Amino acid sequence: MKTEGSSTPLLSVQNLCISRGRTTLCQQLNMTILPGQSVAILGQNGSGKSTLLHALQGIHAIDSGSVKLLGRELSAWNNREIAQHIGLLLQHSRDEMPSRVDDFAMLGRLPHSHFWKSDSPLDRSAVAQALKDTDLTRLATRDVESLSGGERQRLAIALILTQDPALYLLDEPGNHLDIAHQIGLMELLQHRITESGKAIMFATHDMNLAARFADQILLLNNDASFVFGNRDDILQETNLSRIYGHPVKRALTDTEYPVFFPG
Amino acid sequence: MKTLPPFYSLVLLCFALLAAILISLFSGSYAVPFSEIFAVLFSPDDSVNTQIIHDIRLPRTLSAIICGAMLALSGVIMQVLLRNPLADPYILGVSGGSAVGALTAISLGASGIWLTQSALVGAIFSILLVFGLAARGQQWSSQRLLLTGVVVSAGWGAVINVLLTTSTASTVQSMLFWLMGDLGQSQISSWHFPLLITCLFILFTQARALNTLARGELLARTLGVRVKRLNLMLFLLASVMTATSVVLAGSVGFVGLIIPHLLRLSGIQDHRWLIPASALLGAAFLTLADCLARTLLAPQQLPVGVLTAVIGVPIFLFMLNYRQGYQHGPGGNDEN
Repeated sequence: MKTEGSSTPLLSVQNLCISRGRTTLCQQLNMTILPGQSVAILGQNGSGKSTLLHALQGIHAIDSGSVKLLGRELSAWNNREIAQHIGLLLQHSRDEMPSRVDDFAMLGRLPHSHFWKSDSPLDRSAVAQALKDTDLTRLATRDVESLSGGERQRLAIALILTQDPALYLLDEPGNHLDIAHQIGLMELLQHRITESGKAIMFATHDMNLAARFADQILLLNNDASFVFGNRDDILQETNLSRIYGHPVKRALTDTEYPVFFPG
Repeated sequence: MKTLPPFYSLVLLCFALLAAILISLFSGSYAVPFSEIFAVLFSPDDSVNTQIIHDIRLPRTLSAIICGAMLALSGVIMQVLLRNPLADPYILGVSGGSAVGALTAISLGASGIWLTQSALVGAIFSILLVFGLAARGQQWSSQRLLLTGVVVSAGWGAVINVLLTTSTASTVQSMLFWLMGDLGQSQISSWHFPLLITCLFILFTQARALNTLARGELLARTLGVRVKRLNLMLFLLASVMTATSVVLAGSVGFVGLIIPHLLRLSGIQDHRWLIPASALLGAAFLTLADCLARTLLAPQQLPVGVLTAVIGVPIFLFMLNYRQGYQHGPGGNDEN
């Protein structure tokens, strides 16, 4: 754990209950995210991973409980301030209108901009850096519609990089990405958070991505119960087999993180 | 693919609008020498030239500017609000409601102020109807708004047909002129320009938010945009501008659909540029179309709506085939 020196938690969740339609997805969820931490959410389809991330960014209404950003109720922040502190990578993006790749990445600067100011050199360098980090520089002037699935996912990540929040909520960040980009981008984010006291929370179906990049794990069960704790306590064959309803085995490897595979 | 930097496009469009205004003041069946135009424009006297410029051509040119700019802006808004490239200012039935009001007035023998008042009542009624029906649901989604608007609009279409088929031959012609859009009857008021400027300013403050909204409502919300409020504001702005323009000149088609797309196709996709550029190009386009409407078959006048279609359709189709901006499908992996 790299929590030394961190005073207030970035995000603290107390007795949170959320639902979608008539289905309860989280019941009395308690967790805190400290600066420098990386949290993975694992769970079956429909267990509420995405809804939880949406609720933590304030775009999905919560039923009860409290979500505090930097010690202050999330509902007391205005939308713009939330967007300055919390970024959310959405799972789906649809493109109905044409847009250039670099213009799209620039959208992430919205929470930091004012309508009477044009894009500052800072905005422009943030976009250039984000496109470089996501390996999209050479596609910068292309239309978004012409990108492949993986390129589009990288662009969505570039957008959240330009947004530069303190807490990165990522809904399936590895979607459509080849392994080089998957590992590369997770390492980049990991580097960012440890370097500047930020944090990541990501939902994924990839147990090994979670094992490699998270130090805290949240397991969401379909019955709205959950398990939260340190990686090594949570990522056990029995836990994983139970939440997925399918046997999961641990491989014997010499890596410093556990590796699992479906049995 | 080369595109002009947006700033230069904007300067170019300013000149285009100025040129269009001059051409519009110059063209007509009575010849006013070019040098005289400036003379009487800035120092009116009692001459015939002054009367022609000040009482006939200038108001008509100003009407064209207002209508063109407002229709193009409403088009931009509707396309973002509904996230549908086919959207135009009339898609939600504002013009239909207004047309029913106007046509009823025409069939009752009314003209002038009664005609415009009745068109305005029709437009407002239609706006409230669509908004009321669309906002009844839990979530005010753009899909629901679009469907409500399209259906209400189809309903107005039926009423218009009833009015047309039951009217006498002499009133049908003026009805058709109104339906196709005609600047001949428009009465410009002193509040039209402040209204346009206000709408432009409000839109401009929301330009970045519009950029995100065009990429999807959820994304806009994650970036801190208050989407509900923005949607409502866009709906009201578009309705006010469309209603103003329809009351002035009837339902002039194609401007609201084509102008925003032409600019997007020519590379202006950022709403901070697209908004002022649309207003300028819409104004210039309608002003020029109206010049042709007045002069092509002079002394007979054509409805300007016919001209906007005749000019707009080929230009638009050419741009669509020439530019690559709207091509979907494969081609994602070519490396050059």
